[in-house]
Order: sequence, then C-alpha cells, then structure tokens
Amino acid sequence: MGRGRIFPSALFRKEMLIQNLIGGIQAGSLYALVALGLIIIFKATSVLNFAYGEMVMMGAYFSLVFYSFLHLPLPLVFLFALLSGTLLGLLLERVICQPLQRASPMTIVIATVAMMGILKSLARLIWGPGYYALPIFTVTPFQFFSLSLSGNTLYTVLISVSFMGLFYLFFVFTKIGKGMRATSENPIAASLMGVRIPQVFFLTWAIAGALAALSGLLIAPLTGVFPDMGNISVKGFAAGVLGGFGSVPGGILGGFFLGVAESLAGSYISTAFKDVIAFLLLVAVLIFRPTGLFGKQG
Amino acid sequence: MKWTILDSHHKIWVPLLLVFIGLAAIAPFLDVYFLYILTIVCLNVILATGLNLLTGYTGQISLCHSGFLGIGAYSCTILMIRLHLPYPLALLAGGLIAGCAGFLVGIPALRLRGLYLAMVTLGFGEIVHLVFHHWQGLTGGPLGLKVPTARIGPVVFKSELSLFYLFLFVAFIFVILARNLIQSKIGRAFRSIAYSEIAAQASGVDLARYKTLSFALSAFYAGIAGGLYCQLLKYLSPDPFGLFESIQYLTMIVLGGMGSIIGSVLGASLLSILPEILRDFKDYQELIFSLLLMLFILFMPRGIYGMIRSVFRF
Repeated sequence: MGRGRIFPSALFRKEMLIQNLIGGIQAGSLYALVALGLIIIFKATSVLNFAYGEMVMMGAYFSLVFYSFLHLPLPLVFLFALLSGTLLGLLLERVICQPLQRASPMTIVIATVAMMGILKSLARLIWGPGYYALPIFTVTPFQFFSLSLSGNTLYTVLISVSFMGLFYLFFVFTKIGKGMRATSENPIAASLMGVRIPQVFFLTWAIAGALAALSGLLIAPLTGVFPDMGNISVKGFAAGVLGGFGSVPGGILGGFFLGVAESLAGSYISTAFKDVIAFLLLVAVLIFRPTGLFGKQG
Repeated sequence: MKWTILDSHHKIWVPLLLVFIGLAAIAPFLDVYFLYILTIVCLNVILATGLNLLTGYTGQISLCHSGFLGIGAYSCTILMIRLHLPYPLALLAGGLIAGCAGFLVGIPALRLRGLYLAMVTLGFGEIVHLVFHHWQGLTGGPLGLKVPTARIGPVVFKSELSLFYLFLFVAFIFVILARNLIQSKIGRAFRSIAYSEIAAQASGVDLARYKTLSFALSAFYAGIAGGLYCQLLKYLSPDPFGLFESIQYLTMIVLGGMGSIIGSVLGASLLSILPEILRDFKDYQELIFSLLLMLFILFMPRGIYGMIRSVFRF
C-alpha cells in the first residue's frame, strides 16, 4: 500500500497490465474454443470449415431464442443451444462433408465458403440485421485484492476451460475418442483396425457443432448477437495456425496467445492495431513457420 | 472430382469482336440504366478473367481479389489527387501496384497449397480492408475520398456513355490479352501447374516463377479494374472491398466455368445482371448467390460453359 502512494503511476501501470492480461485471457479462451472446433473437423475430415464462424453465430442466435424469446432457465438454454448446434453440425456434415469426401481442397473451400454465405444471409433474413443483447451472466464485479473481475469474464473462462478439459479427457480416455484420433492419423489404417469412419465423421461434426454453439453462447454476452459475428472464425483460424493447425493443444495455446497479444497491442500500440494483429500473425506464421509457433520446425 | 480445364477456342476472338462492335454500336441508343449495368458487366469481366487466370488456369485459390481491386482503386485515386498524374498513367500505376501486391501474396503460395493458401489470402484481404479503414491520412478512412474525374487528352469521362466506352475498350483488350496469354508458353505452364505441380516441375516448369507470375498478373487485372471502378463509384470508401465481394468474384468463375475465358465472360455477365433482375428481392440476394455457388460446385463444377460444351460436344 505504501509503495502505491509513493509510485502511483507505476502501480497504475501494473494494474492496467493485469487487467489487460485478464481481458486477453478471456478473449483468448473464446478464440481457443473456436480454434478447437475448427481443428477437430480439420483433423478428422480434412475439411477446413470456412462456415464454422457462422455455426458459432447460429449458436448465439439459438441461445438468444431460448433465453430472450422463450425465457427458459439458464441450464436449459445451455442444453438446448448445444443440442441445436449439434443438429446443425450434423446437417452440414450431410451437405458439405459427405458429397465432397474425394473433392479437391479448392472445391471444399468454395463449398464451405458458400455455406458461410447461406447461413449468414439466412440469419439476416430470419432475425434482421440488428444487434441483440444477450445478458446471460451477471456483470457485478468480483473483487480479488485490488483487481476486479466481472462475472462475465470469470464464467467465460471457467466454462470454456472446463469444456476444453472435458474434450481432452474424451479424446484421451474414451474408445470413441481414441478412434477419432486414429482416424485423423491415418483413416485407412484406422478403418482396418475396426474404426467405423462414417461414424467418426458424423460424431466429429456433431461435437464441433456443439462446440460452435457453446462458443456462440459465450461470445454473445460480450459482443451482442448479430449476423456478422461469425467473423470471429478468422481469429480461430489465426489461433489454430499459431499452433500449427493440426494439434489441439497447439490451437488452444495459440488462442490464448492471440487473445493476450491483441489485448496488449490494443492498449499499448493503438486500437487500430488490435484488429490487424490477428491477420498479421496469421500471414506471418504461415509464411515463416507453417508448422506453427509451438510446432517442430518441419 | 478432378479439376478439369476447359480449353478456350482458338476462334473466340471473332465472336468477341462482334460482341464488342455490336455493343459499341447500340450503346448510344440505350438508356442510362442499361448503360450502367453494361458498364458493371465490363468491369466484372476484367476481374473474372484475371481471377480465372489464377484460380481456373493455375489452380491457386484467392479470397482477396476485392483487396487487389481496392488497391488498384485507391492507388489510382490517390495518385491523381496527390501527384496530379494523368488518368491513363494513374490507372496503369494502380494496376502495377496491385500486381506487386499480388506478387507478394504469391510468395507464400510457393510453400502453401489448398487450404493454407486460402487462409493466407483471406488474411491478406482482411488486412487490406482494415488498412483502408484505419489509414485515414491516406485513404480518408470510412469517410472516403472524392475521385477526380478522368480525362484523356481532350476527352472527359463524365457521361455514362463515355465511361461505358472506356470500360468496354479496356475489357476487350484484357480479354484478348488473356486469351493470347493462355495459348503461349506462360499459359501452358499455368495449366500444367493446375494439373500436377510435380509433373510440371519435372517437365521443367519453374514453379516459383510461374506461380508468382500468375498471382501478379491476376492482381494486375484486378488493379486495372479497380482504377476503372473508382471512376464509376465517384466516391471511394472501403465498403466495396470486403470478403463478400471476393466470394462474389469466385462465384462468377465457378458459375461461368473454371479455366475458360468465355466462362469468365459468361459468369461475370450473369452475376452482374442477376442482382438487377432480383432488385425486388434485395434481401434474398446474398442467399441466392451463395446457393448458386453451392449448387454449381456440387453438381456442375465445370460451370455453364462446361455444360454448354458437353451438350454440344465441341
């Protein structure tokens, strides 16, 4: 306390740094969640899903419908939003993934880009171009020593980190999870070992759909719900690329790294830079270290 | 599905010349609205032809073509305002600057393919769009720039008719240029890269050189289109240079026919006229565009021109 009175500016700077770090971690946990969904689909089915951001956006709208229009209690909102996200994921698996299993990467990119446009314009047609607020978490700040944490921050980070933990356990310890990992290593060998590939594809998109809905649900209280909120998927790409885009832990680390980098750049360099840094990192890493910041140099 | 390339006919330039003369002849009798639509068609033909050189012929995807278009438009306008360059010079310089940007984007394409390349081009497009927004000293930010009226010698391009003639002339030149290019050594190198990079390299095609060349050329086309576009817009803002526009250009060549000059012209014309037909359903435009893109890539990946050719077997 005494030091604070002697060096108020230094203390102020330190607190600002900590608040920035916390903001960065909150954004980072969301980026990590988006990257996780993208990477799961990419690893299992080799589809880079440009429509993933729009799945997130649809998840946010589903939560909006259940919470603000139907006034369901929060646990039910979570449950139903995740369920509808899963259904959407399964639908997209049928529309994009199945017909294009043997297609060239370019065809797949174009098809998912088309799906991105379809979902975005559908959302705009159904719910209009405006913003909706989705205040599902309390904003009353919690005091920890000298810094204050909003309920929003706390819940977002807690929920996303615990879901990442759940997925870790799922992939490492369950039979289905192991089958999915085997498929991503080598689909032919996995199918010879008795893994049912179509089932794996189906499950992957279902899980990714649920993850997308969860991300939408957690992002919406921060940004509001609007048709263009799917642009967050570009941040997810950047996060995934930072981690080498093939490794789930890498993508999660990349997400947190990106969130913190953005938050620091936004307050210490300029707010304009905050928007650009994700893309700069994306392009720079792909050019200079395509295996990612944390990957092995290949 | 194998990525097939439709060879353009040797004789395409006879019908093209006829269309060119026909349009030039009837233009003075058209009303302003039709003239405007035809001008947009010419603009999109240039862009789609350029994009087809890259995506259709060389097999490299680009999700940042509206970025190149914007670089051309802003360069041309800024050179005219700041340095008082005459319009033809500014137009050419805008094209060259966009071409340099395309060259830069082409460099990572040497290491990356498919999905990763799509991500780099997406990222680059977003960076360019953000730069237009935030570099207010140069681009005027969201407020925009007023574009000086172009003049070449005694001719001032103010009326719709004069602008249409300018656009038509440039479009004609660039389509013929593309047609000659793909039948040259460069064009053969591009096509061999699209079929198989390994086979191309084994046959002595310098991948690094031709991939970057393809990017640079394609961006040059977009840059020239940008220099023309700013004259049509009169007032330049970052809005028409986003991701959605890039997707639209991709839709044009997928719809018309990948790897075909006539396909680019068909796709660009159709997708420029379609919004006008769907004017009453403005809200549904993006949905219809995206659905078309999806349906064509799933069921008719060779596009309209490919379909016509397989029906008439020529």
